[in-house]
Amino acid sequence: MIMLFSNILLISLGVNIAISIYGIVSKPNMVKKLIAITILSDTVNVIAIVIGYRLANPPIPPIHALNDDYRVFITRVVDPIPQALVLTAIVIGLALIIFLVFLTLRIFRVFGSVNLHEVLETMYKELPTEVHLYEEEPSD
Amino acid sequence: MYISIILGSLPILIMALAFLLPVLSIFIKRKVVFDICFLFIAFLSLILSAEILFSVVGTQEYLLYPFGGWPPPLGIVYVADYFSATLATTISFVILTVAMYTVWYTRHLEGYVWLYTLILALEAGLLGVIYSGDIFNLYVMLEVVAISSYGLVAFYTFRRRPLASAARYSILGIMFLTFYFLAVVIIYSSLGTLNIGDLALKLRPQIIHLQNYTIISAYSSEYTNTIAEILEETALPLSIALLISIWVFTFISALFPNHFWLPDAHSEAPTPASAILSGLVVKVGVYASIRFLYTIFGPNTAFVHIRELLLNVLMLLGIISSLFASIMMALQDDSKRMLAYSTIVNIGFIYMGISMGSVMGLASAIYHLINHAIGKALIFISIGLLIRASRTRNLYGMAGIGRQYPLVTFIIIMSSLHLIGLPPFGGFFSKLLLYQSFIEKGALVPALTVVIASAIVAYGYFKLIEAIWHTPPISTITISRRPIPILSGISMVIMTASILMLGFFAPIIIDSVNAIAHEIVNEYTNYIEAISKLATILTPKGVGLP
Repeated sequence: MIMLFSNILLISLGVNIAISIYGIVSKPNMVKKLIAITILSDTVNVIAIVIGYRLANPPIPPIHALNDDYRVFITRVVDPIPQALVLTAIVIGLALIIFLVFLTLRIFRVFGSVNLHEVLETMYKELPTEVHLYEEEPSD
Repeated sequence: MYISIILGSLPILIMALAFLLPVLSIFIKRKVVFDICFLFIAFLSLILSAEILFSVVGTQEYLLYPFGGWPPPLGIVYVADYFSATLATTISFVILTVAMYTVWYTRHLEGYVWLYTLILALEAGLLGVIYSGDIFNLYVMLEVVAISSYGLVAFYTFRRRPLASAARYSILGIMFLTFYFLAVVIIYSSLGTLNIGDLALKLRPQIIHLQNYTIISAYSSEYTNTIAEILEETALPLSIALLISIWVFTFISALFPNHFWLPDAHSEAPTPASAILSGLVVKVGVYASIRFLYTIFGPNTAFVHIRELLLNVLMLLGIISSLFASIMMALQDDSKRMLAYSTIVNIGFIYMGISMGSVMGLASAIYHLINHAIGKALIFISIGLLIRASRTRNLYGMAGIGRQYPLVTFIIIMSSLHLIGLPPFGGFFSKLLLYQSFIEKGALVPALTVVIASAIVAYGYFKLIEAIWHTPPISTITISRRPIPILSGISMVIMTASILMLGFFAPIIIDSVNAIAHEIVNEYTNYIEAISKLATILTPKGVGLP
């Protein structure tokens, strides 16, 4: 039974990664790309948690009390490092998602669309100059 | 082995000072104050990283810093060997000189504080990647570098081209770096450690039982199986993790199939940001590739076959990259896009040097990396001055503008010759060393590629110089000549002097890059030894390790 569940979990994680890559690469909508990126990073985080999990009976959290028996603790404890990695990765992911949301908002305001194909087509209509910087410059 | 507080605090200090600037901007409105703060922080980082380089060279020992005082495989450790100390000093030097230009560039720009903050945060991330001795900390610092670069590319948020290029760059960058995190998790699940020195030791079971190293292997190995059995079981996941990480590093450094974001992103950023992105950020991927291919999965590990395959693929990609990008560069009409394509050419050369697998190849890659970092930053900032004067980036729009600024044109010519690789400059000697390393192994196709790509690149640069100097001005508007700003003039002169010195002192530099490459390829045990000495010092007496 446990084997069945772990196999189902692994297969669904693989399918998740495939779906998210499909979403990032082939969906032109920026918001859909953003959703696919969150799916990808969450899937990788779940993989890290699964790797740190110990199938002991019962598994115990990685907090050692002074009167615990060390030998029992070591054989049953869940690995704490993947949890620390996932916490860090979640914080980084938050920063990246906020950046992408801001970028999507700016793209919508400037282009009037969040479709990246349209955006990349219309992007070259603007002249590649840096003139805007110097227009307000005093003419000395 | 020495413990240095400067090493541990440098990236964090720069990051903290960088984010102090926007807070200060609430209270102080005068630009001069921020200019001085910005230059001071950049100068401080140059002083501190040079201090680290001098103590590494002077004592002939590695510098280390364990965060929180934990012995190495348990805690994060920062390591400065010759390679990372040299690269960090180059990075700080280039950022200081570009900072002097940035102060002038932002004189009429609102929100200059954000540009300063992003550049300093980028510097903190770059130094963190270079000094980190832990593959997860490397991931965190790569994300710091990546998010600062996305911010720099999208700096003009009211314009179309920067926004669209930043969207493409950031979405793919986030996807690739998430895959690097997956590779880190796979490596951790296979070997139970994240420390680079510990990984290097565990992947070489033939030296694991030497007396010096028992202390670090005792922390995280041989719980149920011996390390040889573990390696046999996890050969496939570790190979996949190696492939994923190298693929991600080729995205960061814009090697051929992953290069498509670079010309847009690097040309649409503000000019000082282009100089830093093109000169330094792509080099971080090269550094991480060298760490993975030589220090961790080195030539005497069990992964020698997959490593050979990977090196051959990188050689092929480097050849395609340099040929393709040199042709694309010669076809461009946009001066900044042209320089961005030239970056892809040079990244191709550097990867070709790495993938020879020999000491000389790696030495030439490191030498070329330093040459290209300084030369590309110099040509970007001097072209930036002409772009400002002619108010356009197009080569035909810039026609004849060089006659108004003979000194800047002279510097552009010198840096072009440096990047093409002609004798008095450093670029010639690094390309010569690269060529020699191919001839030494009898690889004729890469050697020919270096010559052909250099010739096509030379055509591109001569087109640039011809456009800004010889074509008579076609515009009817007479452009009044303005004085060259003092600070950027000083920074350009310093960088020109440094590219000349890279050429004049070529014998000394070739000796030292050979020493660096020799240490990376053959004496990888130095790294492990430094880590294990630190672990011995930090482990309290009487702790019963198995």
